[in-house]
Amino acid sequence: MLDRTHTIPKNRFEDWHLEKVSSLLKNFDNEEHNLIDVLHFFQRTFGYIDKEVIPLLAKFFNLSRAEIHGVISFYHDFRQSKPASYILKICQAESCQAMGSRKLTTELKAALDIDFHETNNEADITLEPVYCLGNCSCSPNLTINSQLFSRVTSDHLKQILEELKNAQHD
Amino acid sequence: MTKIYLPRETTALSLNVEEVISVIRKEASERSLAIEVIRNGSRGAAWLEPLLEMDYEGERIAYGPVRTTDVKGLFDANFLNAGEHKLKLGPIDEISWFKQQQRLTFQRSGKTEALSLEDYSEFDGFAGLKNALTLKSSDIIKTVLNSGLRGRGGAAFPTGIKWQTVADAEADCKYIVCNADEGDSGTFSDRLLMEGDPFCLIEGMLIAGLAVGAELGFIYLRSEYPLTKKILEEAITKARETGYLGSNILESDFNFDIRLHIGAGAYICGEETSLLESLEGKRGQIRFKPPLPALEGLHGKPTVVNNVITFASVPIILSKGANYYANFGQGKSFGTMPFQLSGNIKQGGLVELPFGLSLRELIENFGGGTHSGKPIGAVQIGGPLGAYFSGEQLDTTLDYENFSAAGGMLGHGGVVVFDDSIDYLDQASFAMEFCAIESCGKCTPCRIGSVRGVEVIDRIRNSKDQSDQDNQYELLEDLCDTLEDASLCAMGGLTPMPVRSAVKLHQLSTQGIVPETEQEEVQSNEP
Ligand SMILES: Cc1cc2nc3c(=O)[nH]c(=O)nc-3n(C[C@H](O)[C@H](O)[C@H](O)COP(=O)(O)O)c2cc1C
Ligand code: SF4
Ligand code: FES
Repeated sequence: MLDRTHTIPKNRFEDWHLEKVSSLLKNFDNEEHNLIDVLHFFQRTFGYIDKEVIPLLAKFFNLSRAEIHGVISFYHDFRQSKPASYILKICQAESCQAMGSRKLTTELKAALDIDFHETNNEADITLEPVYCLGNCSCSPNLTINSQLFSRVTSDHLKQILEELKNAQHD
Repeated sequence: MTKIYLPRETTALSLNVEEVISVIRKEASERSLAIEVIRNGSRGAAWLEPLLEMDYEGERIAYGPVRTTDVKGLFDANFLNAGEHKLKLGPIDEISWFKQQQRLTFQRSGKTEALSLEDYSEFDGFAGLKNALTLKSSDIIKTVLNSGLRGRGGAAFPTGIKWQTVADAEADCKYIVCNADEGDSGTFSDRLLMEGDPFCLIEGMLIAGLAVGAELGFIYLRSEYPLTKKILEEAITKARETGYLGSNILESDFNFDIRLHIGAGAYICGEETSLLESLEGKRGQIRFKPPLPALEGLHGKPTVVNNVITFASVPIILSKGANYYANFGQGKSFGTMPFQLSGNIKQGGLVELPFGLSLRELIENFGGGTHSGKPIGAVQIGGPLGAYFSGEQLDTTLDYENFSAAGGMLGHGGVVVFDDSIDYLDQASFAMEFCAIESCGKCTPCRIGSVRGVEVIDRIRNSKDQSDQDNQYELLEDLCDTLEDASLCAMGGLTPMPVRSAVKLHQLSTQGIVPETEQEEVQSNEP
């Protein structure tokens, strides 16, 4: 981990605009099986799915609003409010537990003074749980945006938070 | 020009392999040395990543784990001519961790450049497909059936029987679906296969399509695997460009294409009917069975749903024959299984072995014991729905039947080791909590009972006297019985497995005695 020379990439989401969303939607095929792809695309672009889009999607896919809402709320990936520039997901599953993820999680929550699914605005970090990143043989694991960190210790965690704090001033 | 191999793989990536490569490139150019960096997959030895190999007189010499700070020293030690260095591991094929394995499904991963079709073909790639193209559909299925291959996703259902059912179904259109949701904690074999040998999965799906008469396949990949997604996209594009996907494959009249679908972070979508709902763009709610997906699957059409490792085991069976594969293993567990060692373990990673080794041999010989050096507190096998075994139960041999006889399940082959600092009640409570978080919501015991379960376990921990505690244990037993009896799928149905086994270990460790009701069960767990 100390090997890393590059900085952690920052999320740069576009501001949510219903007109923009509506014109982007035209690039998709309106068959129902595309719904999850469309939601992924919006979340990649805007960082979250605003509930404003529900009627629009219902019309586009010829489904009820309840059905669209049902899909958005079913999947853990989909967020319904705008996240910070850094989304930190820490693995809560068994292999990472065996390597101290519970303690790390407690430290992280304390350092940021937030719980899961919350944002610390000053640090510009949103904290989320994740259940296995498939890198269990190098537990414990966490991701920040698209970057995976393995064999994370308390010291690494402090360094990472420090680094993100310094990046604020860039 | 010296060839250097460094994996393009998630674990290596998390250990900064890209940085290591750029430092190597820079150092080589400063020293005017010509190198070629080849991106192989991982050989599965996570504890040695980033594992560097180089070609020396026709042999692959390994160094690892390599950090950026080691690079200068490696050049000084003349590693480009296999020079001595403290990280030198010697010829890769001589390292006992690899040598003691039996690699069938993972025969190429780590050896070849993952996205090179030339490499793939040179090492037995597409030999299975070519054979299959000369066979009748029924003979392909017979070969798979006779190999004894059973589904590696968890339920261990015979693959040949599933294919036969789909082949026999009358329909205008059939589908092949690859389950790459790999949600089980402690497992990563699907990921290693897809990143290290993606064409092998494509070949397995092609053979399935040929066998049952399907022309379209889907890979349902979990969203937690972004690098895997990139590699699969590149592999599918390459396969299309070279005529391995598309129309008239290898000049036959067989057409087949594959689409990649990305999941959205729901564990339950690994269950096949939930997965199919999700592929159709819906909430991943479990469907009632019957009808079986084999008869009414995706969009109501007959569908083969298999795990990545199941598909990836098919090419070698079609290339080397059913007997070759079936001769590995023991009892009714034929062939090999990629076991995955993780948690508190010194030498974690993927170890492919014929069924039949004991858990102890796996953890001690390959895993090298716990990472902390402390005694083993428990081992959870088969993912979050699998049982916890104590350090005394490690002589159970690794095959499907032995594991269920011992009150557990092999599942997808994940082995998560805990040292003796484990808090068994925490683990039992987490199993309930996980069920509550990931429940699809259809059955009350799974949705609500799991929340009650967390509360009951809390009360066990905080109980003020023995009789209060006994009452709570009894309540928990009842809850587990209800979950087992009244759940539509294995999410609710199997959650009692980790809960009961962890609670039992807790009772053993705190009281040293086993409550009467459980004595019989514990005794029958002895191998
Ligand atoms: C809660 C739950 C989660 C599952 N997750 C997976 C998974 O992530 N990957 C997988 O291949 N099978 C998973 N399965 C098993 C599938 O339902 C199904 O048996 C499997 O995809 C069939 O393929 P196979 O016969 O090749 O194993 C899961 C089952 C349950 C009940
Ligand atoms: S047991 Fe749980 S996950 Fe399975 S169908 Fe019922 S509610 Fe859904
Ligand atoms: S359990 Fe944390 S990465 Fe798998």
